[in-house]
Amino acid sequence: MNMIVCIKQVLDPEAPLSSFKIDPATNTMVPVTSVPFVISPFDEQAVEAALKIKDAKGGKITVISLGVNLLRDVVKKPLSLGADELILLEDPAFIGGDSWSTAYALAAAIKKVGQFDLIFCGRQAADSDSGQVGACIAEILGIPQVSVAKKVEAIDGKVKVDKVTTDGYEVVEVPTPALITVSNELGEVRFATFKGTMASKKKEPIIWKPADIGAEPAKIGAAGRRIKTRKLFQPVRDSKCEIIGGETDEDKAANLAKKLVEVKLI
Amino acid sequence: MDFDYNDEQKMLKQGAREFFEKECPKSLVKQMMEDEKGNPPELWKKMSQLGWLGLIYPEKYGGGDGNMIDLIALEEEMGRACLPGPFLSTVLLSGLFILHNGSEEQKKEILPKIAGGQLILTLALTEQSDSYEASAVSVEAKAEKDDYIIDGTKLFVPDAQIADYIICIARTKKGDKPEDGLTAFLVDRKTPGITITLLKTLAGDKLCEVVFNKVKVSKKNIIGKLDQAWGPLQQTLQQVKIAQCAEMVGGAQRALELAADHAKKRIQFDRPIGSFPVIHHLIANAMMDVDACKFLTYEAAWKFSEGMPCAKEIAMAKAWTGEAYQRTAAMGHQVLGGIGYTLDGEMHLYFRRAKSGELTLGDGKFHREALAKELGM
Repeated sequence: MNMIVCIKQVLDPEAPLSSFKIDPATNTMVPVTSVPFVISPFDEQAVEAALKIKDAKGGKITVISLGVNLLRDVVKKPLSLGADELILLEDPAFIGGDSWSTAYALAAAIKKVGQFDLIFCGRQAADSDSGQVGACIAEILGIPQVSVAKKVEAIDGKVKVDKVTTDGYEVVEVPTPALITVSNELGEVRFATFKGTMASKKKEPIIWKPADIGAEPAKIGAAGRRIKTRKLFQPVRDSKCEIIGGETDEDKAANLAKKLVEVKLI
Repeated sequence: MDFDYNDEQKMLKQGAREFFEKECPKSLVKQMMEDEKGNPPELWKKMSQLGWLGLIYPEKYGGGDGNMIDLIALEEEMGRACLPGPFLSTVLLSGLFILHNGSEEQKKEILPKIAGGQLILTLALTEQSDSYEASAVSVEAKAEKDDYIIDGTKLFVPDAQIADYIICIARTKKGDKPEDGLTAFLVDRKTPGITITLLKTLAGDKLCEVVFNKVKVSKKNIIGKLDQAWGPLQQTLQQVKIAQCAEMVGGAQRALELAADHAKKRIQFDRPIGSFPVIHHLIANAMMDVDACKFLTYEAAWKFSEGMPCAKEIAMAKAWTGEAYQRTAAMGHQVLGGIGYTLDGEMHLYFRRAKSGELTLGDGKFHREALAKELGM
């Protein structure tokens, strides 16, 4: 089975909120140097989903990432876990895009890779959180998509997917080729063995420029944006603390209940 | 000049950090300080599965063919995590001594089992004086037919309470110099005559008194050459000291981060305490200390991995790192104030380990003397 996994390098979403600042004049995030880059955690789940299928059925995993100055010790991580090949769409022309222009470039790269049975993406990127790239790739390639997967199994030319819903999950089947977006409910991702990590040294990434994938310059990066950002801001969260009094514990509990009813929380 | 890790070593380091954050939380570290065994078996097994226990051994002995720089990348994260367990005693002190000095049969028998997490070993070297000088070794081993009889007491033996085998350094001959006549014996811990008592320690690390009361060991269990263990042992200890320094670097770095993070968040007089010059200076001094630890350790590791003479660099790294780690953790307590002294916090773990790390394998005074000797004084 030939599998492709799309990953994105993002600033560590676990970093404290105070690390991030918005420039209101340009509606962009002020670049930060104190926060390390990681692979978007949902994309790590996507890699894990592909590795599970490779463990069970064998196959080849090609990882694709898009950006500029991508850190090799970050984007090579899937190779250390067992992925076979890494393709980087690395060029300043790819920068400043939105979900659609990113999906356009990734889809062009996937077409160039050629034969594939499954494409995996994270359900959404941990920085922009838009969750549209996977769906856009599927649309551009004209293949079915199943979103928010918690389990993926390859069975006789089809794929069985447990798809997360608001109150549980539903089981769906989809013919290949297909695109699956993977959620954190998939479970824990594996850690790289020492040998796996050192073996990744021998797998140098393949670099593709826009011309290599036949991308039209007007459709990639900032030039290809279809989204206009009207306002980007950090919401102000104000919290007030009120101590509920009472002579006894019972009084305090009763007063607390009254207060909660009053503010319509219960 | 580039003392940075390569991409794969950075990946190893980051992977180790994520692994220890998940599998070795500080609650487990604190639990292991009180636990008699001090080695969570599941964690040890998982580290083995990741290939970390055999990282530094050749592939033919079940290892990962890693080099010294790979090892210190991992060690830094172990120090950051305050990893409990017998990595130093088993993988480094014992495993490396066997790797460099054991017979082919001993290497094939023991090293894959260390890498596989199936065997715990330790090295019994120090005695009552806690000195790492050859003259401090008084435990004797006397020949008797095909065996040797070991008699005497070893002190501060790490992880002996869970070891399957103890490598005992004993005096087999009185030579002209104290370094002459020392031999390494591989002793099964269950051999009659061995009594092990766990000592109370500051950092909750497991140091033991090991009494050898006429313990019979076969001549076949000698590691290396009879009467000539001291030189090879020193070579192993030099390598282990570099790893020990890297572990302290990781701990010191984390203590510094904890202090700096607190200084940025803790508000006093309507502003973060990190805006006060006195705090600036404390943090800046600590950062200079930690960076000095790093570069001394990295230089020693690099020279060692290149097969270059590095006795001076190792002595400087061990002397400086042991003391700078303590200064950094003490600074951390100052910056954190009262909360820095609570057992619920983490800073005390680093301070305790700094003290323990300073004394392990020789303190600053010992290594200053070693450095002076290297300078021909």
